[in-house]
Amino acid sequence: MATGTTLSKPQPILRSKWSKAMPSLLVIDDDRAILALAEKTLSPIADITTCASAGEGLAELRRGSYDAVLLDIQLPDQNGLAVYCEIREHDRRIPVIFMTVEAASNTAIEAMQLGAFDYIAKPLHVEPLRDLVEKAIEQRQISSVPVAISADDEGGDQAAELFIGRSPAMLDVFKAIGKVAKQDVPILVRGESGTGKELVARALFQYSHRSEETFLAVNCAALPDNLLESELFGHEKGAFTGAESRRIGKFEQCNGGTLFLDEIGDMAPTVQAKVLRVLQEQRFERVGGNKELTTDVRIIAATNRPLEQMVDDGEYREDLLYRLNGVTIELPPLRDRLSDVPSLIRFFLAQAKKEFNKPDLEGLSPEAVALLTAYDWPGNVRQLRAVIRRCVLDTVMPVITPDILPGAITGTVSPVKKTPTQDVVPREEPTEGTQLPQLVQRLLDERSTNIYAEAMEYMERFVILKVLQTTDGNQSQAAEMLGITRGKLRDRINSYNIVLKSDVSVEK
Amino acid sequence: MTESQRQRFSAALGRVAGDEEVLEMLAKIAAEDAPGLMSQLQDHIQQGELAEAAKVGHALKGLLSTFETGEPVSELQSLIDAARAGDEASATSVHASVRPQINTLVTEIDALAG
Repeated sequence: MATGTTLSKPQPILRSKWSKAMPSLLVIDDDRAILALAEKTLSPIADITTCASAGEGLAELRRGSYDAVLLDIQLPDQNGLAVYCEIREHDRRIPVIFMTVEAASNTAIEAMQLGAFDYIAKPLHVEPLRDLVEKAIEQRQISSVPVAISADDEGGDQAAELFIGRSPAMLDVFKAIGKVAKQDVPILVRGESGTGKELVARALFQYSHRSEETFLAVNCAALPDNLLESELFGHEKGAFTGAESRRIGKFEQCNGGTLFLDEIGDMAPTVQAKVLRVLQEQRFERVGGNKELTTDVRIIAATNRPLEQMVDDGEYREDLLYRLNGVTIELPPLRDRLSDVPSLIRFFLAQAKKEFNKPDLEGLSPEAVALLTAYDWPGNVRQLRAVIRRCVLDTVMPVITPDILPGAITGTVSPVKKTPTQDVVPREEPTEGTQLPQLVQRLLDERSTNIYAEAMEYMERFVILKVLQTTDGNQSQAAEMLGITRGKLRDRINSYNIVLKSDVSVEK
Repeated sequence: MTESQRQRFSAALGRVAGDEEVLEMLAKIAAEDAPGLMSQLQDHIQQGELAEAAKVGHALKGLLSTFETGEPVSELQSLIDAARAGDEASATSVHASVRPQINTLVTEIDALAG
């Protein structure tokens, strides 16, 4: 068999599915049988050139113009990985498929880490081999288009992402931050989950007179009520079982600084009363203590819950709402400022390129950008950031193309429904709670970037439903058993469409 | 290709999408190249050149795995591992036990080549 030559018989220019002259494939392997097999079975989809050594292969690569390379990982004159590095130096857009007898070898893993397109185990199966080569050629052609968004723009620090965008809605946010940052008043930041409420809080802090002092953040929904009270106000030794020593709370610790209270709607009435007092008088007592303490803390609160409705329902103190609501900054959902998406992509792309050390990454193809800017982003900026990071991690090519994007964005998977107070509507009936492994697998298959939240939501819905069934729908008893406030339970009942009839069920 | 050969190499035939002509072509190449590799393997083992033995063993495994992925081809991996680990005794022992079976396989492949 001749080496370094095109083995296909001379014939009129073949047209492939690629709607251009036949693509070309270089096969480098010292096994004559592999070269013959490739030539025989892959010639319908590409012009095949074969080489039996690394030296010949690299020389041929430099002479010709190839759309993909099929490379043996162990060659007689040079290690396949070293050959791969030379191929990349010559043309980093060429997809390289490794072939290996030892599929589980460290070398194969290392090849993938270096950015190989894929690897295939020997003995070769003709049909998967043909599919893989077609995919590589397709990838080569897609990634050869000019990038629409470059990955080389400067990425600033994390807080800088807040200031990306020139949409009217965001300009209003920037103006509001500028107006109130230096005024020592409480601020309420409102917006859907993932819109960047904490970033607004940090910006308010950074531009305030307190910028040299402490900034602390507490997520009120993350702690049970008694622990939240202790976290915020501290406790005295022996205040409750397990309080073995005095603990200083955040209000005391943050004296002179700024305290960010996230999810302020998820607070028990007792905690609401104590927070109100701090807002009014800057005074409080530690849990289990009698000594009145004073503090000088600026409070920035955030929520995505309908506090006015909660006041009407008797679940939230009206006086606390008015105290918090002196100045409100409303963050728009990303779907209302889609014109900012390209700038955000550019920012996150540059950040991820640097963080994941992908110097060869050039950017996103125009098709990928079009899909990203057409999507409605139910998880807002946080979701966009997660998607871009995931794409940067997944891609082995210099240009991110639509095939790397999650199915929900490309339209191959139904998007998850969203409402302002309802993050995710699980698609499976969760009453039995047995579908968690399948749910996680599906999300993995869909390349979801929200697996944790969706899995936790599935679990939460199951737990709440089960407890409500146990209490025959008695919410006070269920809240007690769950260790959450009645308000939080009602919120979840609404979110998950739980119907409180004689048999507690989920509305479909 | 006889019916018994089709049965004997049914997995290999499946890998080439049932194309008997392709399998016969591969058999011809393997039948030509395998004896030389086996001879090199024996020489390297006898001379204690284990790194070279591992390379040749790897090439032989790749060549023959087109036709057989189980024993005796899978046993070549033990030989390769022992050679890479510098364990001459094990490499020699595995080689001695696997060699007759490999010879038989190569004879079968040669017959397939026609």
